[in-house]
Amino acid sequence: MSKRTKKAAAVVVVILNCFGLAFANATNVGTATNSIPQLIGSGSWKVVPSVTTVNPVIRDTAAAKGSYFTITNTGTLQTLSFTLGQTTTTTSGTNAYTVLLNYCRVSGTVAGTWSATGTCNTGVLTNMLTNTNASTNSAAVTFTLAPLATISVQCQYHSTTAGAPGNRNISDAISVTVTRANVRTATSTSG
Amino acid sequence: MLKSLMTSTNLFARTVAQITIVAVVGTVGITVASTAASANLDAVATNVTPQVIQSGTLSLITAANAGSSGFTSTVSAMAPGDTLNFAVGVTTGTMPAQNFYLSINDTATASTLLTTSASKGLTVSVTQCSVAWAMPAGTCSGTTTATTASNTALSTMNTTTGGGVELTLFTGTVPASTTTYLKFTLTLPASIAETVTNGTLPGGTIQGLSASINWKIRTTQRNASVTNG
Repeated sequence: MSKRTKKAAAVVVVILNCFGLAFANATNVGTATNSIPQLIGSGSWKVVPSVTTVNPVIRDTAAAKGSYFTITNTGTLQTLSFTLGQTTTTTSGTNAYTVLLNYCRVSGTVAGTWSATGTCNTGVLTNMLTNTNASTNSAAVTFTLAPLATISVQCQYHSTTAGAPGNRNISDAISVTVTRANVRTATSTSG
Repeated sequence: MLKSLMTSTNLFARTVAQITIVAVVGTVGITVASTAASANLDAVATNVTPQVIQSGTLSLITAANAGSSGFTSTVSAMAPGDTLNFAVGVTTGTMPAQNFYLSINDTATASTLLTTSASKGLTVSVTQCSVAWAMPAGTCSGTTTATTASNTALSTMNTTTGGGVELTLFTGTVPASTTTYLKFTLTLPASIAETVTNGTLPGGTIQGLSASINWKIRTTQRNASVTNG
């Protein structure tokens, strides 16, 4: 077989192989897709204090009996509890004191309101957290907050030094922390 | 002249003359014979009833299972561990199919971690029932068959981002014009643990995201066969 003949034969083999591969890939396929996309969204757990610093904290002997701020569930998931933290700092004065964070509790899911004179209008005044002097402390608060639900918190300091007449200037840093464990339990939905 | 050639003492000349005569006579004979043959009558046989040959149709049609919204079901504000169950029926065409494959496209403006994260993103389990699923209860009165989709991260089959590949849902022949009943269970992994302080979400959060999912079920034609009729 001449060199030219061998070359021609090789070309033919390559061409035939190409056709063979093309036929092998020619398998028919059937496909189904949903024309309207299926919408899936994840929720969020965010419980936010209206202020992160109360300065100064109003003493319980004042007309309003304390300072006030709110805690709101700004997420899209119901929360069952949250961790409330505060760091108290004495900016002036040396006498001993406590700083209390209170709310009006009607039930585990309903919060009451405060009057202008610091009285719990409905429900029961309930202490959530107390710091002694300058310190950092936190506590778990079991209260169900639906999305956008709010509770009002009374922040007051109380002198624990007998006969201490003077006010102290106290600053209070507030934090509210939520983890998955604070969020409603998982559910199953059929759609 | 012909006589002189045939009687020529030259052997070559005499042989050429003889061959020429044989060729001419042969040609004339063939011509006469073929003319006589074309004059014969033809006999033809045909089948009175046409032989019917049809090509099959390889197609898949999805429809929501009774009691379910199928792929149009939606859910919002999923918490970790939440599930969404929905069922669809996938019907083959007139051609038997072979193997089912599953993939998704997230058609949202930009795919989110819901469909791109293997650790935090949505997972899917697909279960087959021999009859239609009873929805919304999600029960099967027939026989259930598991598929390869078992808490499978959508990210692994998300072809939008180029990172995912088609999942072979199950293998085997699916007869023509039959419905395969599939129940999908979408889950946001319960293992997600994110801490949010004062409403500030952590980086790479799974919270507050959305996905627009186009499911794609693909099949191929069954192997070619030889039928002796």
